Amino acid sequence: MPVVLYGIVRAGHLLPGPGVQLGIGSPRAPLRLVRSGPLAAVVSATADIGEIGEQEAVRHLEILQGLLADGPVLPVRLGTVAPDDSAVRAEVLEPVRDSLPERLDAIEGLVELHLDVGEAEESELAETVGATSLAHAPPPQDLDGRLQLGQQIAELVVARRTEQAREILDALCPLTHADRPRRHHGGPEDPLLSWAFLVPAEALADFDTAVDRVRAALPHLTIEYVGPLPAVDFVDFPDRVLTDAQPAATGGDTFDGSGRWGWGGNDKEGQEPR
Amino acid sequence: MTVANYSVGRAPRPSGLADVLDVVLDKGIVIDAYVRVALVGIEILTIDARIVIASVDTYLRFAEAVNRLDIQPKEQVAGLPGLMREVTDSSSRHRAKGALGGLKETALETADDVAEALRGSPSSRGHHNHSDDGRGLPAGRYAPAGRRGGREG
Repeated sequence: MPVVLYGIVRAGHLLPGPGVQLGIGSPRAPLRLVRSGPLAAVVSATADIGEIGEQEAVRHLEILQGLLADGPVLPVRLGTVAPDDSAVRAEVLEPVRDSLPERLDAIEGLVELHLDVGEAEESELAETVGATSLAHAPPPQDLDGRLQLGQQIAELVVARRTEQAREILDALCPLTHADRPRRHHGGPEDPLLSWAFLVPAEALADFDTAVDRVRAALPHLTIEYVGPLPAVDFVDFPDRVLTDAQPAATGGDTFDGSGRWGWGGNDKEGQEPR
Repeated sequence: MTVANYSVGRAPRPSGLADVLDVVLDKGIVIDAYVRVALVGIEILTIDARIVIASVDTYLRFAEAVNRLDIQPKEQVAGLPGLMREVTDSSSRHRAKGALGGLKETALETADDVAEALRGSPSSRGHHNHSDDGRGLPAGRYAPAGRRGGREG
């Protein structure tokens, strides 16, 4: 029976509690572990995975978050289906048995939190430009003039965002194990702050308090604060696993690529550094 | 079970699909032969959803917005942002949703795109982390002509 894969955990990991016991596909089957050596894959049987949409993506994330309660978990890409349990052992877990345990160890007891911060454009403009001569200059009639004005304004807006971002990071980073940006920053279309923080699970309440303080200090900002998530932004794991399996194991697929990239990715474009 | 306690101000999950997919799609371990075609519609969706509008459009919008600020009596300028923030927040959210829905439909309907994206997917995985290279221009965003002239007062 084909199985859907969700994540890779240690062999002794406990499955999530009530509310996160079923996988995706139809019918939805219970989650279980397929173990091999020090590792286990979290899977659920499915006859038909069906179409993967937003609901399935959210479900996949819920399963990973449920697993997080008992220790580190590394996600497997959404929509990954293996032909059966023995294929999971031989073609998923075996190739990573030497490298993955230490990556799981590295994020033991740590969770990832995301902060996405923005300010309404009108507020940014009023604050940055309202006090300068730019606000009172007659609006240029020609396109070049308007672009130039817009560019000057953009510089002021970006400077304000950078300053506020620094203030937020200064308040939060001392509480974290590690942190890193999740988007590019510094351009006029870039966010004020989109950042990932790696925080000890036991210090989560302290980080919550710090975020609350930031919210209170900067009430004009909209702050989306999300977590705990698996520490995906902080683990350097091999993002492709070689399989010798025939593709389209569960029927209905038209996948006809060779799909034989190894760890080194010799012939693969886009092997991004992680 | 410390991690299961959610603070009031912390959401368990991202509100946007793109951020959900960031964890379960972009960062997930890829086992090549097992990734299903059914998934590809979503992949197109993420890439498109991350396309950011071009600078030119932003500059023009800024220039225009400042003219608008200027016509307010000065003492009202300070009170304006809060009021306007609500309006733009809700309207931009609706816009984003509409755009996502549209993209999804298109993506799922087009079998050619699906096959192509499957072949092209490894190279597009790096997209969202970087700013300027590879940033496409969504159709219809490039010519803000309708908005350009309207504000001279």
